[in-house]
This record gives sequence, structure tokens and C-alpha cells, in this order.
Amino acid sequence: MNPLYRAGSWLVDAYARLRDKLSPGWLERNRSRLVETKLSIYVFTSSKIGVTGLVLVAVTLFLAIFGPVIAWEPYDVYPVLLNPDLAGRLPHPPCLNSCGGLPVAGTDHYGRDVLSLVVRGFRISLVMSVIIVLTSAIIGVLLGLVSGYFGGVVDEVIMRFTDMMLAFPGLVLAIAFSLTLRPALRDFMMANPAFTHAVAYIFALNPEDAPNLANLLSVFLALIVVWWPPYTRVVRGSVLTVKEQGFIEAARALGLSVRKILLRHLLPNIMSPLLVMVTFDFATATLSSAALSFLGLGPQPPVPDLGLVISQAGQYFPEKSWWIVVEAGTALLLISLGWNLVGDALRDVFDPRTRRSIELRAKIEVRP
Amino acid sequence: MSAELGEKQVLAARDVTVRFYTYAGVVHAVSEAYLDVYEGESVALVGETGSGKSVFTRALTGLIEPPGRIESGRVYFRRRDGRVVDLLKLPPGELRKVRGDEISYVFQDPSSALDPLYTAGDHIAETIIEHRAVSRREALREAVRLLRDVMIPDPEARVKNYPHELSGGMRQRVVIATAIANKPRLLIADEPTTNLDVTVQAQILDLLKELRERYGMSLLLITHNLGIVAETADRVYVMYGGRIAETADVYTLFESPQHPYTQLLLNCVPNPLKKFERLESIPGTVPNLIDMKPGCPFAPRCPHAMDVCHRENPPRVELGGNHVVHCWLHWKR
Amino acid sequence: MGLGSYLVRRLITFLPSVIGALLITYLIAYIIPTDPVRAWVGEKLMDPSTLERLRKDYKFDAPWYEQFAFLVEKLLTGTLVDPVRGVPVVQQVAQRFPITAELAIFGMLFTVLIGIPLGIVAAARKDSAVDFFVRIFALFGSSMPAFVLYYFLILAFYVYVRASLLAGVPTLSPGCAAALENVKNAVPLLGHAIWAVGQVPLLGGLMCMDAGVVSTTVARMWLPGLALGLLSGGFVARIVRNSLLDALSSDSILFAKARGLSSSRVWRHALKNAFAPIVTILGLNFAGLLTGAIIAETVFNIPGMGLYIYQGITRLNFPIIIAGTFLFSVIYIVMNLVVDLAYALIDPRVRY
Repeated sequence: MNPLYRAGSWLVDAYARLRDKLSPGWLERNRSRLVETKLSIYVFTSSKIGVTGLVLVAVTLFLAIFGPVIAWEPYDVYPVLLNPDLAGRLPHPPCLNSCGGLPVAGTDHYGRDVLSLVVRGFRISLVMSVIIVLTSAIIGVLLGLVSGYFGGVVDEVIMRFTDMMLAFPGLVLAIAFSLTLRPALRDFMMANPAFTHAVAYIFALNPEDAPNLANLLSVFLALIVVWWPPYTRVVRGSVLTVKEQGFIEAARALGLSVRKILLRHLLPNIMSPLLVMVTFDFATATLSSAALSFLGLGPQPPVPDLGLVISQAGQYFPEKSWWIVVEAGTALLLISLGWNLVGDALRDVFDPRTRRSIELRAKIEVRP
Repeated sequence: MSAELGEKQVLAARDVTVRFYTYAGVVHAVSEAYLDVYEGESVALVGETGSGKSVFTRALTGLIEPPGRIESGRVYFRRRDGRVVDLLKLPPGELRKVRGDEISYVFQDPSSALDPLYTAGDHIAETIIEHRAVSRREALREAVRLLRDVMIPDPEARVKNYPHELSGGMRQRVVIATAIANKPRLLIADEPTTNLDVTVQAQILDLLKELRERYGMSLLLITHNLGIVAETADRVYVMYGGRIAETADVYTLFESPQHPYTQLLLNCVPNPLKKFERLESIPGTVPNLIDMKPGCPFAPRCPHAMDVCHRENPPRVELGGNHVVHCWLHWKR
Repeated sequence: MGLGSYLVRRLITFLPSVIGALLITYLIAYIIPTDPVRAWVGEKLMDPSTLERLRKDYKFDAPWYEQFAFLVEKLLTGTLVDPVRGVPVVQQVAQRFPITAELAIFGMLFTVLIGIPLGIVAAARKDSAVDFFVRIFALFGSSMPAFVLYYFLILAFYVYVRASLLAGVPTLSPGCAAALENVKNAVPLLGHAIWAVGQVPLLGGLMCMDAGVVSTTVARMWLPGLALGLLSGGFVARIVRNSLLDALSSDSILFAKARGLSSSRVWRHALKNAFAPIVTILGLNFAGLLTGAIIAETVFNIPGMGLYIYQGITRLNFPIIIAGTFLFSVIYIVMNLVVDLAYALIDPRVRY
């Protein structure tokens, strides 16, 4: 029993004990579900890929939350403006012997410490990818549930629309939407400072910088518009499969309300593939939003967006900016890799064959 | 003539043991099983799911893949040229020549056995070409003839059909056609009718009987349906937990079964002529074949189980006239 | 035959997709922007009378159906013109298609060269070190930011080792271009097809057996092709591996072995069954390469559709974006159609 599993197992036991105290007998009723949860944790923690991914994700989350706090340089101050005679030496490569007070990790062409920028960049990257995926998933899942469950005209309309969206190359459409939404968003944000402040707070950016925040949001909205159709399609497919299995009819015969059927019977059955899809999408969304920023659709300097930082470095590539591409690129790589590894391991966790074969070795139990 | 095989004998399997090495442990799928098939006869192999009957019949021609392994056994077979060989000792190339040519298989699900990307004619023709030096055109012509033999109407059109264009019954006929294409001595049919409707079942069984007579083939039929056994078999083997429990000719088995499992099995089949109150069943569940300990596999469910049944493998007891039972009850010290 | 009726049925869904493309382009061009005229003109200042003329010519004040009809006509006939610079944008984007197609072809070549052999080996040596490596390779391929990889390959193969070109794209020699023109005019349908294929410099060069064009093209395109191949090769390898393993463990393979078929015949059964879904994946991959080329073209400086659109982004040239969106969408829809047809050719079950 590896230590990670023991930790997870203890958590599950603690939760079970708590629920049991609140409503006695809960543990017995849900014993098999608890054992299955523990098995999932066991299978996941036995996989080197999964654990590595989890570590990377933990680091990503930590830096995303605390990055702006622990970053040692502000992002919106350009040292080259304060100290013009630096200009000739910028961008400055990494310097292990701390040459003349310049950062160890090297600077960009404004004189900012690249590593500090990258640390701040985690917040933007993570917030973008997580909220894009979660929002799209919620929209897509709701549409898929409704479409699959009700069938008929509702299904036709929703699916025609979804298929139309799916027939398009996502990146191209996202670019077009992002561009068209920008002016409208800019006006909106200028007119609503409270909203702008909220957005700035979430991304740890300067609230006065409305145009850049608008750019960021335009990428965000554009990606959501393009991201939800696959979820609708997958969820609808699952719903149709589940419908064939007959227990939806049974639930209806028992008089359960539509909402209850959808939420308490359909949703849990499609949770596993959905969870895997969402995890992989976190990785893809990270790269997609970075790609859009790279193309210039996202915020402009001084915002420490990782894609932007790399595209700015492109002008000086390679002798004068390879370290910038390395540092920012590695950050993006590690963020995506973390999610992809976790998703890969999760896929194995939910695959019935690998699950059963490991279960017979594991001998898991839930103690009251 | 040889020591291992009688004159009219086609196949003799002795002491076949097959184990599967899995994550969960070692599965003793088949233990010390044996089988005899004579010319022109129809032998039934009966057992529940998990009794090892499918694995045993596949092991006869070495058709076991990792993580399965044939641990031991001898399968004597008389080939077309008259030589008697032990199939399990043949090099893989030779063994491949026996399959599809001298010993053929028909499996349970024709929809998954047939390759969806190949037509009916393709399947038959390729089996013919593999074993005989025949042109593709000639092979396809033979395919049409074979389809007619298995009573598929309009064979010239059907030969070009893909499996999804055929009904379940027709697919199984196509499978049978590929199996008899090279006129094998032995046809092994693993629950050939389980996936088909009852009316089609009867047709397929009749077809098999007719082909047997026409080609002089022996038939080894695996089934869990005792009705089919009564209708078609000459002799019966009953398997449980990977072991042979009892074997006899069909009348003896139905009239005086000696193994408790066979008796209970026969009890389960309701007699439409008698009025009864309850459907009988055998209490308990299929044995766990993983890391088996010695002892009779049926002991946990057996109403007559004794102490020795749980500790030691049951002995082979000859009851005379082909009737053999593996049970401590009949062991006379 | 089933294939013919399938083709007809599939074409019927093709039309609504194109209409959908037109609709979305219309939404982007006229509906979503708060001030469409300002969007089309960009940030450029214009005097009121020119603006008035623009409003009339481009129907900015007309009812939605007139606007839509106008846009559809302009897009489909290729006569949409940038109001500021007077450039026929649809044509400009369309004539860069052969270069983008060339990039996609090189990308596909490397993806197949890397992915398929790796996948077959991974399936043959299941759970071995190779298998694990393929899994990791696939994960890295989908986690690596494309532009970062491009920069590093450029660093390795252009800066440190001069093994590739980074500027210009060779075009067909005049003789070859003229010859293709003749073919187009001489033979009706087939001639047009041959001419179209020949516009892609690599293919045209091969057809005219022009060693110069072919070798410079390869020198220019192999690096971006390799980059694209490294990014999707792992994924393809994984699909090939899983598909092959599924096919090998299927009942029809067991039956094939039970019939005594030789191992080459058995493998033929397995490969044929495994490759049906793989062809679909490869086809969709190609469609993705065609439409996702923007970043690769930008970094490698390849003058295809993607680079042109990127320039439209940086110069805030809205008409280019509109034309580009529409054309890319049509390409994607057509590619999906081709993939479906190819799959129907391989798998007879789909034709119903």
C-alpha cells in the first residue's frame, strides 16, 4: 500500500465516518460505492504516470494561486525605462554569477526578470484553461442531456446546431470570434469598472488596464464558443446508450421527475468519461489559449501571458532570447503535461479491464 | 493401427491440462481432461459456463494463446495419410496445416467470427486456397457449391455478400461452409446454435447431421443444452470445474446418471409431461478456478459430499460399457 | 451500388454545412461587431463621404437578408474586396492554398512515417519498453506547445546546423507551369484536376520531373514537416497500437487461426480491420494540418494561407479574416467529406 493511497484511503474513511455520524447507517448503505472509490484511488496511485502528473498539477496549482504573491518583480515596470543605459545589453541571457545586478534567469527586452514573469504567468494560464473548460463543459453537458433525453424536435434542433459548429476548424473560428468580440468587450469593460476590477483581481493584473483585460476576455469567450460542441455530442451519445439500457424507462415508470432522472441517474453514469475528457481538455485549453496569445489576439505587453512572452521573444530569436523561450515554453509544457498525465492515468482507472485485474490483488475494505 | 488410437478412432486426448497465468492468479481452466472420438459419431461435451469445455476443445489443436499455456497432455489424431501424430507435439507449421483442413471449428457467434470486411466467398475461398493448390476462381466456384450444400438459397448472389448483409442463421451457415470446405475428419462446434433463434437452431442441427453423414465427418458438439444432447449425440462427456465428471453413451447417461452433478443437471430440465411445482436448480455458484486446491470441484455444491471429496481429487471409476464416472461415491476400496 | 447511394446521401449533408459556414461568416462579419463599418475599415481614419459610400456598397445599413445575400455572392464568386486597400481578399487567400497544402503534405508524410511503424511495433511488443516509450511520446506530443517546438527545431537545424532553408518557397518553372496550363485547357475535367494538383509545387515538380524544384522544396519544407510529425506522430502511434491490438484479439482472428490460415493472411485480416479507423484519424489529422497551419507558417515563414491570415490579424485587416474564416471552413468541411468517403470505401458496413 503506497503512502499516497494510504492518505487517500484515510480521507475516504474520515468522510465516511462523518456522514455516518450525521445519518446512521449511511456507511452500510454506501459501502460498495466507498470501496469502488478507494479502488479508483488505489489504481491511480499505483500508476507512475498518474502520480507524476499529480505532482505537476499540484505545482501548477500552487504557482497559479501563489505565483503573483511570491513573484519578486512587478510585471508592469520596465527596468529599461528606469535605466536607459541597460538598453544595449538587453535582452540579457542567464547569468550564474549575477552580472551587474541582472537576474540569474535572464531578462526580456524590457529588462524584466523572465523567471518572475513566468511565475506570474501560471495564474493567467490556469485561470483561462480551467474556466474555459468548466464553462464549456457545463454548457455542453446540459445541452447534451436535454437533447438526448427529450429526443424529437429538441434533439434535432440542438444536434443540427452542434453539428454545424463541429464542422468548423476550431482555431480559425476562435481567431475570428476573438477579433470581432474585442471592440465590444473593450467598450463594455470601460463602462463597467466593477466588472473590470473583478476580472483583474482573478487574473492578478492591473485593473486600470481595460484594453488588455478585454483582449484576454475575448480569447476566453471565443474559446468557450468553440469548445462546448464536443461535450454535447459525447454526452448525448452516452445518454442514448443509457436510454437503451432501460432503466430510464423504469425511473419514469416510478414517477421520478425529469430533473431527478437527468441529474441523479443519467449524470453519474457518464461522469467517468466526462472527467477524463475534462482533464485532457485542461491541457488542450492551456495550449490553445497560449497559441491565440502567441498570434497576438490575447493581451499585449506588459501582461505576463506565457504565449505572449514567447511571441515577443521571437523577434530576437535565437541568440538574444533562447532562454525566454526555454523558460516560458517549459512552463507551458509542464502545465499541459501534468493534466495529460493525470488524464491518461484516469482513463486507466475507469477502464473496467485494468480496474478488475488490479482489484483482485488489492483487497480493499472500508472500516466503520 | 497404433497403440494410442483404435482402428475406427479419429481422436484420443489424454491428460490435458491448461492454465492461464493472469494478474489475479493462476486459473486452472482444464485439469487432466480426456476425450475419444470415433469415426462418424457425434460426441457431446456438456457443462456450464466456466466448466472449461471451450478451452479444452481449443487446446486440442493447440489454439491457446498467452497468458494461457497447455501444461501437459497428449492429443493423438489420425491424419489423412494414415499416420497417427500427437498434435501437441507437432511444430506450429504442421499444426496449422491440420486446422481448417482435417479438424475444423465452428464457434458460437457467427457475427464476430466472420471478418466484416471480407465477403462470404472470400472466407471460404481463402480457407480452400490455404490448404489446397487451387486457383481463386476455382475456389470461388467451390464456395458457391458449398453454400448450396449448407442450404443457403441463391448461393451465386450470397457468395458476394458481406456478413452484415446476411441474417444470423445464414452467417452461421457460412461459418459451417468454411469449416467443411476441405472435408475435415472432425468438426468441433462450440455452442453453434446458442446465439440463434429456436427455429433456426433446429435447422442448423439438422444441417450438421446431414453433412456428417454425407462427408463421413465426426462431430464434437459443445453445448449446455441437454435437449440438443439428447437429439444429436451418440456419446456424452460432462465437464465441471475443468475436469471430466462423467462420460457415457447418451441413453445410459440420461437413464442412469451416476455423478451427482449430472443427476442434478438432468433434474433441472422440466418434463413437459409431468406437472411440477418448482423449477429445480443447483444451489451455489460456479467454482473459482483460481489457485485451485486439490479436491473435487463439485464438492461445495454436492448434496452427497464427504470429507474425502474436499481433500483429494476424485478417482476415475469404470462402470462398464463406456460409462466412466469421477466420484468418490463410487469408489470401492 | 451501396457506395454510390452513400455518396449522394453524404453530399446532401454537405450543402447545409456550407450554408452553416456562410452563416457563421455572416455573423462574424456583420452581426457580432458593434460597429461593422469600423471593424471592416480597421483603425484607419476615413472621411465621411467615403464612409457613406462604403455603407451603401457593402450594405451595412440594409436589412439582414440583403446583407447575407450580398456576402454570400461575394464569397462564392470570390469577389469580396477589402474596402480600404482594394484587395480581392478571397482570391488572395485562395491562391495561397497550394503552399499550405504542400506544408500539410509534408506534415502528413512525417506523421505517417513516425506514427505507423511505432504503432505497429508497440502492438507487436505490447507492454514492453517500446510500448511505454510510445505512450510517453504521445503524451509529450500533445503537451508540447507547437510554437516552442518550432523555435527549437529552427535553432537546431537552421542556426547551428544549416540543414534547412527558411525563406521563400520555390515555384514551378515557367515551362512546367505552361505545360500544366495546356493540360487544363486540353482535357476538360481531368485536365482541371491535374492542373489543380500541379499547383502544389512539390507535386507539380514531381509531375514535370523538375529536380531543382523538388529538391529546394524538400530543403525548405522538411523541417516544418518533421515538427508537425513529431507533434502528432505519438498520438497516431497510440491509435495504431490500440487499433491493432483490438483487431488481433478479436474473434474473427481466432476463427482465422482456427482455419489454419498462415500468419501473413492472419495479419492481413488484422491490419485491414485495424486500418479502417486509422484512415479516419489520418484524414482528420490532415484536415487539422490544413486548417491549423497558421502558427507553423508564421514561425517558419511559409507564405501560405495561414501566414496571410496572421498578417491580417496583426494589421487588423478584417476582410482577410472574414475571407480566411470562410475558406478554411470550406476546406475543413470538404476534407471531412473526403474522409467519410474513404472510410466507406474501406468498410462496407458504413454504406448503409
